[in-house]
Amino acid sequence: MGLIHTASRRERALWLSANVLPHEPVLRRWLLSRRLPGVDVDDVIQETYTRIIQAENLQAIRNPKAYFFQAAWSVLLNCVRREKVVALQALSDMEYLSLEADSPTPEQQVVDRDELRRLAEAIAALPPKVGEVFRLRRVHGLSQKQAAAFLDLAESTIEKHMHRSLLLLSKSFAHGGYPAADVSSSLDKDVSPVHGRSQRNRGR
Amino acid sequence: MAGRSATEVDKDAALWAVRLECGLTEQEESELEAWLACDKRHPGALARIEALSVRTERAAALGVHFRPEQFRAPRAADPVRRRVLQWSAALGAAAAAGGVWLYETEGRYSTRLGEMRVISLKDRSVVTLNTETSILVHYSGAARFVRLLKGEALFDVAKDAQRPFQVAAADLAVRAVGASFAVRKLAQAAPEVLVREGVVDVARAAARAARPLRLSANMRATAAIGDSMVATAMRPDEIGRELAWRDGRIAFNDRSLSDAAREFARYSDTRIMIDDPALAHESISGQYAANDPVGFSRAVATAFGARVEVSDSEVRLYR
Repeated sequence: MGLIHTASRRERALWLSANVLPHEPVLRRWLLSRRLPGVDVDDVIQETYTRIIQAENLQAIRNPKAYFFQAAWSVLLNCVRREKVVALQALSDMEYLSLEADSPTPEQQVVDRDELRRLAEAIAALPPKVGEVFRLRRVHGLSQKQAAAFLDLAESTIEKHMHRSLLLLSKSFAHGGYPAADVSSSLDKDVSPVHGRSQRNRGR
Repeated sequence: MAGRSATEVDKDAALWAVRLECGLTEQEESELEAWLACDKRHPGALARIEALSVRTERAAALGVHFRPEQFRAPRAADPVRRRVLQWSAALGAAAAAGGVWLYETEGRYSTRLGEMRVISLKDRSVVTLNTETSILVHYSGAARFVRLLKGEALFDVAKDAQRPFQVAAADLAVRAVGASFAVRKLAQAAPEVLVREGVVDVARAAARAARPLRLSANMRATAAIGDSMVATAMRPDEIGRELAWRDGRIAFNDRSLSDAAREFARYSDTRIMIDDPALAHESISGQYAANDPVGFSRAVATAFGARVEVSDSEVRLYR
């Protein structure tokens, strides 16, 4: 799979953010509650996204939620066949998911306001240095270069902190939105510094 | 799905997402292509984390005055903090009711053309913004940072040896413990620093290894060719003239009329046009209201026997 153009990357990210991400916590909870041996929930989620972006035209998908769950279902089936450990019986209440896919979405505005508050909480829970860089980049809208100049840090350090903030925020999102509690402390151990990156000229 | 764990895949994906945002080198592009091709979880993990990254852009809606501490889950045994919060809530309400002095901290502060603004920061440092100026203030436990994005600002820095006050303007890095100094970053002029009181260290970012230039009161440092700086001594009355804008005035001492016209253009949309080259070279001195280019032009016309023609957007001086 080759690289795609920056503009279409962004379009894709916007579409996924609006149409798929909001349903991820539901899928994740469902997968977790199955306790399928030999099946890693995060593996399934990642591969499900791979399937979705293989679609010819994302915008043409009329029911993204159903599409997402169906993709997850087929990833799961493959996984089960490969692992040969799970009785298909265990997956029978996949119907629950398809039902879920037709349920109406809550009033969007309320969700948005609530999400912004939870995002603020998740930002507040970031480690101080990481949070500082994140706020400069995302709240104040500084470029990586400007943030580096502003904090008198190397650009590679800004990159490291942004990497960390993205991982921490994605972790808290995965666990049902952006609950702030304990996200950073539990992740501290498994987010090591970015692997060796020499000084590079990013002046572009 | 043997190989790396999903957590490691997410870690790689997040790193690619951050790099993609700033643009990749050719080598990185081929590395990324190889990474995407080697595991069927990779493309999805990247697409997902990019979507999450886009989602965090909503943080911009929190606004530049967003204070994370207000969103931190309150700890049970923290009565002091709660009191502070109640107090600040009360202050906020009072401020909304009318004009209570609030100590401002983090954020972006700007002035429009011809506007001037005094900002009192929470450490009791005071920043005065001249016309068309924009600064970004960022305080942390270890330091006080201000970036002068454009324009001119006077910093009256409250002394705090533990937290140096740092101002960055273009590639100038200014550092003080407690001092009063002005920093300028104007279009078509080299950035400069004027020290009114105290001691200020100035360095060029590109020449980080070099020792910073130490300026004391009544000195000016101007960025020069390469990574160098030029320091010059000034008389106290010169500094006073340079900072006359704080009183809404522009002060000249033996400056050409064309210089003066350019200076007035910083404060107003009304341009002073001087058609006669000889007139443009005439020298003037004195203090004038910064927001009144027409009044200035009339005074000049009287002094040099010139005529004034005023229209909507300009004042024409001719003989």
